[in-house]
Amino acid sequence: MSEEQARRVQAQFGATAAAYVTSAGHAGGEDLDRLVAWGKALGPRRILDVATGAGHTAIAFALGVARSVVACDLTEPMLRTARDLAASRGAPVTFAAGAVEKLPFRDGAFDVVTCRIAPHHFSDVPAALREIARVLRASGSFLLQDILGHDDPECAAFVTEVERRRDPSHVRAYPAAEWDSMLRAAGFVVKDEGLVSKIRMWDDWTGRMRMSPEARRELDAFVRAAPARCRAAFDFKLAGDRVESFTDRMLLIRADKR
Amino acid sequence: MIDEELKAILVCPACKGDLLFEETRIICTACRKAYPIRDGIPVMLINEAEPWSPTT
Repeated sequence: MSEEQARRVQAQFGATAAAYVTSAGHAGGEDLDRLVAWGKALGPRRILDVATGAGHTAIAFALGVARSVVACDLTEPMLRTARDLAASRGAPVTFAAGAVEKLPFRDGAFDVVTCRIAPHHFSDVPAALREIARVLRASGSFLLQDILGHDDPECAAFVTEVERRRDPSHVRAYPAAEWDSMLRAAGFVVKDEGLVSKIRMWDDWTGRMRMSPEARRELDAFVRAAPARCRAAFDFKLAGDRVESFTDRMLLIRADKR
Repeated sequence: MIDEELKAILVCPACKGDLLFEETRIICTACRKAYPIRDGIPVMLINEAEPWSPTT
C-alpha cells in the first residue's frame, strides 16, 4: 500500500472504529453466513482474517469454524476495538497490526484466509493477493467478499465518486471478471461465487463516516444531479430532496491456491 | 504477552525472516528493525519500526 493511502485508511478508520462494532452491514448477515458455511466445509485449523476492521469476520470464524484465528489490520485503534469485541464474545482471536501487501506471517502458515468488505480500500490489490497466496498453504482457500464493481464505466465512475466523497480512503470496487483475472494472476483458481444484495440506509451509511453537514449536502446534490440510469444501477431511492437508500451488491468468492 | 502460536508464525514483514521477541518490541536482526508491541498487539508495520543495532 502506498504510504499516502495507508495514512488515509488509518485516519478514516482510526476515527470511526467504534461505529463498525454496531454497523449492521458489517456485524453480520447472509453474506457472512455464506462465508462461514464455506469455511466450515473446508475444516481449516488456522485462519487469517486480513483487514479485519472491527473483527466481525474473525470472531464469526473463531466461534464457528476454527479455534485458531489471527486477525490483522492496518489501523491500531480498529484492532483494539476488535480485540475488545472478541473478548466480550469469548472468541479466541489473536491480533497483529500489518499491511496486507506486506503480511508479517510465514509462508504457508494458514489453511484459510478471509477478507471481507475491504479490498476496495487497497491501493495495490495484485500485491495483496500475492501476499495472501504466499501465507496460504498449498490448496488453501481464500474467502473474499467485497462490493461488486459495476461493469458499465459511467455507473462505476458515479458510485466510486459517491464512495470517495463519503470516505476518501475508498479506492475502487472491481467487477467479477476483474477479480477473476487478478486472482488467476496471483495463483488462485476460483472455485465458487455468490452475490448478496445489501440495502444501505443513507443516514446510517453517511453518518458512520462522520461527514460534515456541508459535505453531506453536497453529496446528496451530486446524487440527485447524476444521470437517472446511474442511480437506477444501484437502486437509489429518493424522497423529494432526500436520498433514502441505495443497494450495493456484494460479491463472494472462494478461490483456492493452485 | 504475545500468544505462543502467533509467535511461531510471525515474521518480519519486510524480509520475511525470523524475529527476536522481547518484552516491549520485536526485532528483525537482518533488517535491523525493532517493531513495537503496543497494548499487547505486535505492530508489524514497516513504517512504525525503529532502527535497531546490536548495541541498542
